[in-house]
Amino acid sequence: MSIITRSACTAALLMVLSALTAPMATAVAGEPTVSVQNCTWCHGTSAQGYAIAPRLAGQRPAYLETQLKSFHERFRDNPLSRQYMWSATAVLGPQAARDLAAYFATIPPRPANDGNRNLAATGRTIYMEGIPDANIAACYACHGPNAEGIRDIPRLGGLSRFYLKARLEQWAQGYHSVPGSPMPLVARPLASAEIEALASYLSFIK
Amino acid sequence: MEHRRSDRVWSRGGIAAVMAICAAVVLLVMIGGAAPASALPSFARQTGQPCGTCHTSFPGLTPFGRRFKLLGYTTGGGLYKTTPFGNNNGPQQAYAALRDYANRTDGGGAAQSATSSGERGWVPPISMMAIAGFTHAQADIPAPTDPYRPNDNTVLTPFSGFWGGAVTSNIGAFAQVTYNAPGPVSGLSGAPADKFLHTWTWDNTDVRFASTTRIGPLDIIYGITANNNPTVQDLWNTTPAWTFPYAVSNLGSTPGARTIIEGAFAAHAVGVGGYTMINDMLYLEATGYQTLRFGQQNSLGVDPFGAPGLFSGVAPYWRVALEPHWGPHTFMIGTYGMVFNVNPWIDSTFVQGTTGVLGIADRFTDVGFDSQYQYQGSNYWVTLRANYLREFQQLNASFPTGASANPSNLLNSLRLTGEVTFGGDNRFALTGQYFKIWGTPDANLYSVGGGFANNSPNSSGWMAELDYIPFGMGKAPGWPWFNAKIGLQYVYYNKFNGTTLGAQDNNTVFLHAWFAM
Repeated sequence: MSIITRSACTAALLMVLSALTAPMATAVAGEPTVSVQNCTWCHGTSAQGYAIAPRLAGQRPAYLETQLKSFHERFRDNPLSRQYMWSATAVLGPQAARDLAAYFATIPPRPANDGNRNLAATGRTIYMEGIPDANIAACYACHGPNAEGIRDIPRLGGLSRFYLKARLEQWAQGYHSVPGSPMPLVARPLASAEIEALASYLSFIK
Repeated sequence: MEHRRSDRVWSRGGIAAVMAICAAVVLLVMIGGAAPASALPSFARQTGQPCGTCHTSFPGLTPFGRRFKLLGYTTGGGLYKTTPFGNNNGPQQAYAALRDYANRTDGGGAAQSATSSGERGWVPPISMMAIAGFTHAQADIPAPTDPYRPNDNTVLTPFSGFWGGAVTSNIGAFAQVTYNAPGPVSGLSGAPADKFLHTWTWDNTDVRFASTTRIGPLDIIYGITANNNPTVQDLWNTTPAWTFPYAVSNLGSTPGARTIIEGAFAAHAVGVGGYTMINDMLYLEATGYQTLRFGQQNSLGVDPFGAPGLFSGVAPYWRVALEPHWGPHTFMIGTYGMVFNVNPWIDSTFVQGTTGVLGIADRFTDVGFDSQYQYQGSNYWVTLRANYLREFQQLNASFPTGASANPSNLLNSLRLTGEVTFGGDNRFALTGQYFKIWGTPDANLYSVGGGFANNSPNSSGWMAELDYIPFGMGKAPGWPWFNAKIGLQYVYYNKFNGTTLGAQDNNTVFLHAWFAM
């Protein structure tokens, strides 16, 4: 078989595979679509998070939807949001955001387990009890006893230490998330050691 | 992208190329309006992302750039429709499928109409690139130098056109066609083989199919690659096809010895292989290559005599890389390699008028070990790369014919590279590299007539490059249709082709402007 014939056969094989696999995958798993891939490109193949990109799997759908809207409207404005998410959501309409959020919420989340285990106990104390002397409220009051979140309050349990730490630091740095969020007030008093402990604790929650 | 093959003075060809660039710009502006560039503008149009999402110092890749390639150049997200056709015709269909899935999972809700906003129509993912460079060597080019001056030449090197992007939702391609011109020596040599030199040639090409699945606890990305240059399909900039330096002046001297996998058969061979990424961490690939026949290479604009010969059978290539990642850190350690059985040309000068090869073959076994660490800072990237190649040469054909003095040789290549990029969209880049080539002395392979001393292939030295992107964060006029980069490169040799004597005469300054559109 000549090289050209083989090349033509390879091209044909690629086309056939392309035609066959995506419809099959959609029918079986109901998930792979182009737009999902646009998210899992950075957030990991099963949306469990990748490098700096946070886990989307298992996140509260209302939270994902409001954040996508916030990126789209260029309200959530920390540096990584500006770098990546503003462009990624530029043509994302409200219904599309709702659909993506509903999809990612159905994926079972896996914990990042990347915190400092020596700090986890301290982090748990802050999470469950707050720091009354510093007027820091207990996180669990809103985010739930297992950091699972509710409605548009996000699930924190099992997110990566890097992401949790960056987000907690950003509240005191003047960045925005969604209008009316209480987090700038709640999190601003947190010291860096306390943020580190909280991020470590939360990263281990299943 | 092969920047090392073609250079051209500002002559008729250069003027033609510039005119072609201008025509392309006009054409592209006519096709669509300006919006927010990537290193390859067609990738930016497809993804909607600026250069800095995928590239540190172009074409060096970030973790997300590697994943974009891994997923077959098919990821979208930009203002423009991703593919002209395919399994999903665009966001509308994709969102409808998502709604169906969510409804089945949650058991409720009538589907509403999707409201993706502002999407524009499909535009062919075509890009063009040109590098104009000024070269100053420490010593003048040996005569004859026509059509160049002995030193301080400004050249267009090279001019390329690309297809870069999705074909369907699972198939994408990076395909390059490059304008070439004979260098000063080959242009004046008058050898019969000169008839096989070309101006236009196919260049780096990588066509991919990619998809994802889940097997138990394993997240799997799998795919097929069809390409024309071993390692062009690789994800890391440690392996030869995409390693630093990314742009080189052909008027600057480069060491004469290199391992076979370092580009000897680029565009002379084609290969098809399969790859997988398991749990976003373990990359495995196996690909088989075969050389194109003499006439096929010639038809594609490749000088067949530019390679050592033709493969005897299929040449296998393998790749294993483990890339753990945590937060802003990624680390990779890997190995790759290839076995080449090469039948040398009977007469690569074509004086005898034959395009045949010898019936016996040299066997080259190239084994590489590479590693990379990458850190993403708040407004900067730090990347450290190491690559070591060891080539075992069994010269079963070259030794009997006297082309080599030894029946077997070893050749080693080492590159240690550090890179810092910073500023919006990585608009500043500083790169340094230590390189070393060393191997078995061979009186025939590394002869004085071949430009070597002491029968030795050994060379070593340092490289430094400063790059500046004048239009960061999508501020280029006509973004994402146009972008530019200015680079200043200096190469210093401790040893060149077997000797330290006069090695510094080969030191080169290369100031270049890179345009993409």
